[in-house]
Amino acid sequence: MKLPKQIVYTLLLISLIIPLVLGISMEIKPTLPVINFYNALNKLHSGNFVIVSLSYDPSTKAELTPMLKTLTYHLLKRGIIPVFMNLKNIAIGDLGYKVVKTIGEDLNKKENKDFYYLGYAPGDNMAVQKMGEDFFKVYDHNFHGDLLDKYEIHDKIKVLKDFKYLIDISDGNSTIDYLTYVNTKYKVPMIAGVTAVMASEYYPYIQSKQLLGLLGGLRGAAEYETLLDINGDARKGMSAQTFAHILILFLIILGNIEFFYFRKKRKNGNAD
Amino acid sequence: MKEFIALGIVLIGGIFMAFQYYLHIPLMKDLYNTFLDWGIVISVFALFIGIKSLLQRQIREIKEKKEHLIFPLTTIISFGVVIILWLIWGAKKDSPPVNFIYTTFQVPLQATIFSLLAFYITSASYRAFRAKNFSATILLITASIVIIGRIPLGDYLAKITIINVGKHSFSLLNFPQWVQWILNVPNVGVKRAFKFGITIGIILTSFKIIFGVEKNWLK
Repeated sequence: MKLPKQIVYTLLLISLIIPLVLGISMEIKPTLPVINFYNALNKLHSGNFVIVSLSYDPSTKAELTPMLKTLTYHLLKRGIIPVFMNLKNIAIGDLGYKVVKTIGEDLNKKENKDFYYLGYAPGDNMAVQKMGEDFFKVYDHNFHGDLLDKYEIHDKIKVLKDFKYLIDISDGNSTIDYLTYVNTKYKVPMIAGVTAVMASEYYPYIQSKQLLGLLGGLRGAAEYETLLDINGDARKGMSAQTFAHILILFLIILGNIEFFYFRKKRKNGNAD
Repeated sequence: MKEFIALGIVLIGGIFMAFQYYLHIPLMKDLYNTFLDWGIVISVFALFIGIKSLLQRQIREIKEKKEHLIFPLTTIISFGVVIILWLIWGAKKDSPPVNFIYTTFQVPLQATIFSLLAFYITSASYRAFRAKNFSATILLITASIVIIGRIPLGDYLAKITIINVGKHSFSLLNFPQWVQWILNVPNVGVKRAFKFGITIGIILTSFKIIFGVEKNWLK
C-alpha cells in the first residue's frame, strides 16, 4: 500500500509550518567556502568599491534575498561601497532595490554616496565586456535615471578592474559568464552566492581560486548570518528546511522498505 | 555570392576576435570596442524577435481554436496591459501601475510556482528513489548523506559522536565533512571532465564555423 500524494503533501506542509511558527532556531557550523566569502570581504577597507550583480528573479527569492540582505548589511556596516546592478536578469525589478534601500536606511547610509543602485542594462555578456573597457558606457545613470557623473563613483571608477570584488548573487549560469569575462579577462577577484542546486557547479572554480568564496543556498546564507551573528531569514528558514529534509529521508526509507517487502512477496508468490 | 560574403565576414570577425584577446594593439582595441557597441545594440533588437515569435504563436493558437484558449488570451492581454502601462508611466521606481503588477502578480506567482517543486520532490523521493541496483544504491546513499549533512542535524550528529583516541579526536558521523568531501572530490572530478570536454567541443565547433566547414547557421 502506498501513501497517497495528498498525505505526503500535507506532511510536508506541516513539517514546514511548525518550525516556522514555533520559531525554532538551530546551531549552524560555517563551512570553508562561506568562511572564505566572509574573510574576503573583511580584508577590504572603508571606502573600497565592490560591484554586486543581482542575477536572480522572484522564483528564487526565498534562497537568495536572505543572502542579499546579509551581504548588504555586512558591506554597509564596514563602510564598503557596494554598486548594485542587474545585467543578467531583468525580472528582479525593484525587489533588490527595496531590500538594499531598507538596510541602507536602517544603518543611516545615503544612496549615491554610501551605496549605488544601477538597475538593469541590456547587452548581457557584451555589456559585461564593455564595462571592462569603459564602465560608464554601460551605466551612465542609476536606477532612478540620475546621471552618475555628479557622484563620487565617477571619479573613483573607470573600468571593472577598479572594483575590489565582483559579487554575483545568482540563480543561473551568470557566475560562469562573470568568471570567464570579468575574472579571467579583466582580473577582478570574485565571490558568489548561488542557489543550492547550482552550488556544486562552482566547486571546481573554488579549487582553482577563481572563486574566492561561495554561499550555497539557504544553508550558505544561514552560515553567513552565523558568522555575522545575525538571526535573519536564512537561520529561521533552516529549521523548516531541517524538518523537510528529515521527512524526505523518512519517506525514502519507507519507500524502500515497501519496495523490498513487495519484491520479496512477489518472488515468494512466484515460487509458490 | 551572398553566402561567400557571409562566410567572409565570419572568417575575418572570428579570427579578429580570437587574436584581440591575446594581442594588445590599440587599433585592435578600438575595433573590439566598436564591435561590443554593435553587439549591445543588436542584442536589444533580438528582444523584438522574441516578442514577435511569442505573439505569433499565441495568435496562431487562438486562430486554430485549440483547447484551453484561456492561456494564449491571458498571455496576450497581460503582455498588452504591461506594455501600455510601461509606455505611459515608465518602469522606474515611481511608476506605481508597473510596480503594482510586478509586486502583486509576478513576484508571488514566480515564488509559488518554484515552491511547488518542494512538494513534487518530496513525493518523487518517496515514489521513485529506490535501491533497485548497485548504481541506484550508490546514488541513494550519497543523496542521504547530503540530505543530512546540509542541515543542522548533521552538525549535531557530528558533535555528539566525537570520540577521543589518544591525543586525536574524530567524529563517527561527521556528515558535514562527508558532504564537503563529496563536493570537493567526486563532484569536482566529474565536473572538470565535463567542462573540459564541452570546452574542447566549443573550440572545435567555433573553428568549423569560422572556416566555413559548418554552414547550418546560414540556412
